[in-house]
Amino acid sequence: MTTPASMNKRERRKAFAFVLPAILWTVAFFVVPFGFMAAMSLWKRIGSKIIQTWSLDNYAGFFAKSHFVEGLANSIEITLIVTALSIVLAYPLAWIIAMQIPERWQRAALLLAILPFWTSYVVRSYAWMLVLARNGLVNQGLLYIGIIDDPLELGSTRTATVIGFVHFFVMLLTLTIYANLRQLSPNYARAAADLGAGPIRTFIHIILPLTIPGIMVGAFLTFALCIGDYITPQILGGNNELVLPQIIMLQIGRRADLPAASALAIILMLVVSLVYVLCARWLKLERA
Amino acid sequence: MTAEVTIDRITHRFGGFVALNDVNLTIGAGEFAVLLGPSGCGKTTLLSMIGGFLNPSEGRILIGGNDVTHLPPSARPTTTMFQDYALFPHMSLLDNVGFGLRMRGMSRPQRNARAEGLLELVGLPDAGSRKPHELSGGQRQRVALARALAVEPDVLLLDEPLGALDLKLRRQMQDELKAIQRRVGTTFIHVTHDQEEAMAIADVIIVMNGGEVQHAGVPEEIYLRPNNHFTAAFMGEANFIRGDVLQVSSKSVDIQTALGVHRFAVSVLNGAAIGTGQTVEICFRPEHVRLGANAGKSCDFGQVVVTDVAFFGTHHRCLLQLEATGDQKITAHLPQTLDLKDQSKLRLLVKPSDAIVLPLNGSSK
Amino acid sequence: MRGTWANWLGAGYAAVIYGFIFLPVAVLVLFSFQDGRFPIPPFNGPSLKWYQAVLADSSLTDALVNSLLVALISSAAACLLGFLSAYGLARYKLPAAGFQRALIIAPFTVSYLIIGLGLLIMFNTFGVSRSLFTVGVGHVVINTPLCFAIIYSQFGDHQVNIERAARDLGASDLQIMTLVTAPMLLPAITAGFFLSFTFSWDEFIIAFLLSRFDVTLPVEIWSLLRSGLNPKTNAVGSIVFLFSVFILVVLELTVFRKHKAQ
Repeated sequence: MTTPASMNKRERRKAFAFVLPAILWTVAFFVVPFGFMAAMSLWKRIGSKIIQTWSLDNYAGFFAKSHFVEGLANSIEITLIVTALSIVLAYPLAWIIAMQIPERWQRAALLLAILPFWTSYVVRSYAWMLVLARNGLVNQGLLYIGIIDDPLELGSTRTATVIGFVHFFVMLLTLTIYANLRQLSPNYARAAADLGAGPIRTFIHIILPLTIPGIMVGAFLTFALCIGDYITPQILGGNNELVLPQIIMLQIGRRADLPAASALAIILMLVVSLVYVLCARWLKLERA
Repeated sequence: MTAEVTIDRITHRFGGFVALNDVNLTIGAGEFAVLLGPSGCGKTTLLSMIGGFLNPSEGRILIGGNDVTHLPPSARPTTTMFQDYALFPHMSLLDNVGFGLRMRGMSRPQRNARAEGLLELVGLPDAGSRKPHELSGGQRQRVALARALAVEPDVLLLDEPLGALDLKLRRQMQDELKAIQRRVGTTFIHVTHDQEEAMAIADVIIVMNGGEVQHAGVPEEIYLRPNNHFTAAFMGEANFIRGDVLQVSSKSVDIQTALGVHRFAVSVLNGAAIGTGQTVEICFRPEHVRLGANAGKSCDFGQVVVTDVAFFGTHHRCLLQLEATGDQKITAHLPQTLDLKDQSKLRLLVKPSDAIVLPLNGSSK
Repeated sequence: MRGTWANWLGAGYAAVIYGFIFLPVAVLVLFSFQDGRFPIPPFNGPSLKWYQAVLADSSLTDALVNSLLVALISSAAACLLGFLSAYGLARYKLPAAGFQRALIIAPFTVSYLIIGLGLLIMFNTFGVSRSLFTVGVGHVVINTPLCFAIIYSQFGDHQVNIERAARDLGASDLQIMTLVTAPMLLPAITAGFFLSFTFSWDEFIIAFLLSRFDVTLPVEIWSLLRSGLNPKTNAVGSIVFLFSVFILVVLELTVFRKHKAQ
């Protein structure tokens, strides 16, 4: 990064002028709305009006309402499963692209692996319905072969949601883990082999530990995006075992209960922030 | 531990490109050998092959008499010090140095003790718990050396390890490498493109170019009696004067040049089979040049004019223009106390015994 | 040299995963050409009738135009804000620069649902009705951090001297910024623009919350989903996919090639 010149007052004013539009926009349309939402979370919807009660009842009441707590529990469970599965599936693929495919084909192989990323997110989840529905591809295929007699309930389940999520995040994690692997000097593996380590021990002692920071970053990204997603669970999950974003949308839409929705949204944000702090702390420990 | 390394008719091709062409070489056990040459000469390719990271298209590699050509790196009695050191960033220095021992199944207390000893040997005592990123380039290199020596290899391969260091540090490390090699007795094979470095540390220098060995020998021999034009030109500055052999006897050889006929003792031929009528080059170094006003026991190459002078501390580096053949410039190192008052009577003088005679476009051996 | 069984295992695994990755897209595109009522096996066709249905459906085509509009304008705005702020923070030493950077990047880290909800509440409070405009505002919020990050990372020492030379030759600050700096950073600006475009074009939740009558394409597709599995949805989805891939290819061939050549 360049070392900027020292400043006189006129220059400082000029510099501020450059940065000001972005700052103003962020404050006006991100910080302030957040403030409104925080305030709203302290109010209540009574009847068809919103009363400014200024209390923490919405938060306290969170634990009382079992379906709210279940929603959060579902969110966390699904997100953890999705994160773990996606890492386990993406790592070998990233490895194969980075280490086994010849250099000039790697970019193409990587782009191919993340191409479906570019279908519309909504459409991508819908497409999984085509595969998993009662009369969808999988069921019809299995019926045709004769493995099953009745169609399996695959779509509109938690499993379908997990599959839909894993599909998306495998692509994301392949990208991040690949980038991490490529950054490693090839001499690490050579040095390990030179000193007597076979391929498996080289991987366990050298390569894997060096890619853990990249995995952690990818895992956090997966966690944050997955737990806050409304679309995939709504399309693929059916109406059972709702996750928190779905419950939030219910409060907004059907019940027009913005205070409750706000409180839930803030709780969601707190969960993600907590995970972020844990990850950052862990990464710092790794560095030391 | 130590062993002899034999390169037996090694040829290697990358597609259509011949990287190594019928290389034959023997490096004695306990020797500090340096593979020296410009980029692309094949020295690093050869080193990779000895280390087991590359399989030769043809030929064999023997270490201690055993054919290791098709053994992977882990099975060979060699270790490599890489150009970027390749210290494992997530491990402490102690664990880095002890890694090879761990792979051989040594217990933790034992390998820690061994690692401590090695770190002390390379000048980093009590640093075991640090991590590589805390160290400077020079320190990292010592750790890489310690790690490579920990498994007591027969042959230690060094891939241009000193390239990233500044001059002063490089000189210091050269001395230390030499001292450590003498102490442990392992055969060291060191790759570099810097001929000064080669002469500073090598027991034997192997000059390479275009995938072939140009000349292998001790530093004095390589510098003072090179076999061919490339080696002479690569090992420092050299002057070449072309001529034809007039006659060869058992005692002397007469050569006709554009600057007169000159006689040399037959030893300047370096044992090459050179006959009458053959075109040769008379080769002498800048430090062999004497400017004088009289001929005598020197070869007199005629009148010169000094066109350029630069002071180098220990000497003046001068460019001399020959009056007889106008376009040829001679490089000369003239004394510290140089007095160029009267340029009209300067003549280029070289003692016959300082010069060597090389066949044109060929090799003495 | 290393066991070829490892290579076969790798190839097999890669084939399985690639298959998994492409499965839904393949089914989507294949059955968009379905000659029949349901986008499921057996496959009768190919037929273009569903593509015709899409193009004839005015709410879909309107939504498509809306999406393009919102994406273009919000991406341009995000690029502008991102570039200006990156320029100010990279070229000048401002107090609390770290805080300013963090503030501009902050929306990156928050779920779109929360950003959308916050904006909804604020607009409600001020009586601003939901429309494509409000959607655009939300998209600028989510895309400015991206543009800023990409462009900021490309400001380097090697450009400082060029700018100094321009100033030496008498250029004003505005001229330097528009005639010297911006062209030098064109790859980053273009990358930011195209990425913002694809994110805005595809974005659902903010568009859903902040629009009312005029909607963007993802929102319109969402209402299509109410009618269950329908080849029309397949056709729309395939069009969107192919369009995004096209943008990606253009990006790859122009921006990234040029960048590599530099």
